[in-house]
Amino acid sequence: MKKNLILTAFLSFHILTCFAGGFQLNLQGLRQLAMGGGGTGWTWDASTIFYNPGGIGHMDGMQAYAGIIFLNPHTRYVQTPTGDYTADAASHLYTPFNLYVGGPLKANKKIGLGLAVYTPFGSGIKWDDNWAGRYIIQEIQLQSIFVQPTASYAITDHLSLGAGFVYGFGSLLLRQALPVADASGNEGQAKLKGGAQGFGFNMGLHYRFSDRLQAGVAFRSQVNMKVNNGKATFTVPSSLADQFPNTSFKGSVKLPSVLSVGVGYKPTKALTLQFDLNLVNWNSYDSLRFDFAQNTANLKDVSQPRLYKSVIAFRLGGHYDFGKFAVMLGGAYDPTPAHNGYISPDLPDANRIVLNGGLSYTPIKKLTIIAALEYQLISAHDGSYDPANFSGRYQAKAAIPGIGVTYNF
Amino acid sequence: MKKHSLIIASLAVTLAACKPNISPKAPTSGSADFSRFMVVGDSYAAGFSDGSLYKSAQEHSLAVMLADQFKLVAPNSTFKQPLVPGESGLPHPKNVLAMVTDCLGITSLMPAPDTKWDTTGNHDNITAQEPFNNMATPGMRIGDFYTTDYITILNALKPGELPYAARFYHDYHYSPLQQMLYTRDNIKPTFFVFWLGFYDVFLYAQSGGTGSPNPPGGAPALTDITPADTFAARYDAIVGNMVANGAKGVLINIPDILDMPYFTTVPVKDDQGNYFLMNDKTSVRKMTDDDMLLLEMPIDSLKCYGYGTSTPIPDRWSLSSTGGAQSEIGYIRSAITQYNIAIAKTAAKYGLALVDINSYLKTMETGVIFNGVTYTPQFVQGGTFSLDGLHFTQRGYALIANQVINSINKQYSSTLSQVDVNKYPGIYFP
Repeated sequence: MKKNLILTAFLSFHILTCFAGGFQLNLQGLRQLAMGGGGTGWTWDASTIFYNPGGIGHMDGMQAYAGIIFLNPHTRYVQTPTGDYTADAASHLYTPFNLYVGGPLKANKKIGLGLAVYTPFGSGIKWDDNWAGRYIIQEIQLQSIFVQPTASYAITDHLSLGAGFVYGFGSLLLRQALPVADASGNEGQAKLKGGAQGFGFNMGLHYRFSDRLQAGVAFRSQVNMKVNNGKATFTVPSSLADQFPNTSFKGSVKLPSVLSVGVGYKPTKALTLQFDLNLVNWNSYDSLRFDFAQNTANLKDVSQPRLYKSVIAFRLGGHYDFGKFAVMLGGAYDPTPAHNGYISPDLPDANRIVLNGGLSYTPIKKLTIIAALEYQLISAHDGSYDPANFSGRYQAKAAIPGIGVTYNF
Repeated sequence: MKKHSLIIASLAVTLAACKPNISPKAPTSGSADFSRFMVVGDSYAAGFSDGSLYKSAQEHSLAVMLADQFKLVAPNSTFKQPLVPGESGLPHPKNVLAMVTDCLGITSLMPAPDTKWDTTGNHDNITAQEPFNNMATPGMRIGDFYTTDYITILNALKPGELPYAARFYHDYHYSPLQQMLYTRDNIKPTFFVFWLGFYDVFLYAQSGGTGSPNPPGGAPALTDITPADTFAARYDAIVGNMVANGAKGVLINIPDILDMPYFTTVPVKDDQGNYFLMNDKTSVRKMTDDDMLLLEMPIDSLKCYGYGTSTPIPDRWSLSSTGGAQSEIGYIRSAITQYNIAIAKTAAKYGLALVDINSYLKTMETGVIFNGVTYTPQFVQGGTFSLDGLHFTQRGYALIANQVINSINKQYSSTLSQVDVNKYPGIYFP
């Protein structure tokens, strides 16, 4: 009679909740950022290649655009309902960027061309390796860069259509503690690392009723970011090494489609007001799968249900022109797609209210410098991640400055 | 200059606004007073783990976990235990996981006695360090609580294994009751934890049911079940002594010992599904799925030397289910049920908090998740029970501590904090 101790079900793999919620970055244009993040209705500059490709036909001319944003979020976790435990995530600076070049062609103004490179989704958080939630997440870093060649066609003087092809590439890094300790008490760890790519499109319709009123509709498709040859590395006690072989993995993350409707209105010559609605279809994100090339009794493929809901964000902004200077103000309400009970420490998301402001300066006719600041108000909130029975109170704060420059040819 | 400082000041305000500033809510003590804390119990409250009592396990005992949480509401409280000096254990070397080659030549991961055994100082008398807040003593029964010369009796039972109690009992001739009253009057506890009764039924089970389930005269021998009426009367009287001076406290009831890996790990049939032969009292019969074998039985005899086939497994290593309520297993179940009724009555009588650990451990069968780790009662991989299959890992004790805290909070309207289970050691793998 064999009495081997078969060790099963160590790996509960509560990991990878990271793709929860609001890791959509609404930071693709500085002027838009300064006005609450909307830009579907009004064509401001070459960033319309992202916000509404239909707007390319309504730009004044060819433009090059570069922007960078400095994102340094601070997140704290405290024990609930009472306690003495506090954990602060490590401070880390992220720099989403945007590059655009495009506009209507000189030869034929009906046709517009553009190329965009931008960072629409991203997330990262690094907790202490020994913190209380380490079996759920120690560190997650997600990056994506989208490249979007785009063309537009002005059907009439008022109506312009645009569409672009999206190639996305990015990377994933994830570290999580494993509840197996060696003879000295050192705990195990799982590390997943890989590159991802995916394809999609971005299309829009822009209508210019008059010089004072513009509106648009844009649809950015879902992009299924696939990891084909990720590397899974396990650090475990030597007696369990055969149960946790280092192996490759496949997986995918469906980045949601976004349907936007926007309108811009100019009540006076200097003042422009704009309003945007974004419907973010997070519900397309039904489950998360990671298939390991090599499975054992303890290392099984991961398939986790996700219960995200689609959300609608509201964005309102104003722009006042003083000649060489312009001042922008705005705000947004950006609800979380994560349900109660699915608020995880890899992205302790909550409904957010965003306040924005900005300034632009045009020293010479062709050149404009834009600075924007976003302040995110995410009120301290209790969150629980029920699959791991992990709960606590979170507070996240971020002031997000950005700077950009446009040059008209 | 003025402009500059304004800018700096506003920058500082902006930056400060970006830092989280929440802090955890402080626990409160409600109607209880945790400033002087005393523990009465057996091996479970002493910190016993992996088949022995060793220093780091004592330092993370259930009692210490609770004392640490009490300290958050009673900062001046102190808590002292009669710690053993070594890491290997008293009375035996503790079990560790090791790759062991058995009589069939198969090497697998098994619990084995630690090869280190640092016994120096194990048997020192440390009464000079009194008072000790934790008087929990491995093996302690309600049935022995009134027995004077308790240490001498233990000594006679297992010669050469000087009991842990000998380290710290104020007087060698004391009964456990006398030691409890002495400690009580020394510490003047405002709050106590009381967890006894396990050994009143376990020693019978550990003997394979070879003792008496109904010993006469209310004086159980060391392989007998303490009669339920004796248990009830003494339990009430002992707890009555603890509350006599107005102390509040919590009582913990008796787990279903038959759910523990000690009784559920060794299979009753071989790999081909042939049930082993056993001695059931005087008769020899095939085992059934309702019978149990003890984890401490000689496994090699089962694997290689004909136990269960050519030689029926001795009665001493098995628990029989034949006879329903009148079987060994039936007597054990009945005793636990009756003890727990008595414990609940005592808790109600004195207005004390009650931890129904029996029910909680049943919920663990399907797994209890704490901060991403799933705990089950399975031996080794379940993470809850230590390598003796009977006592908890320190993480298992922390799960218990949280149940105790919940009960206290409910009874006394306190808001004591939960223990972070995963900060304590679990099973260590080679």
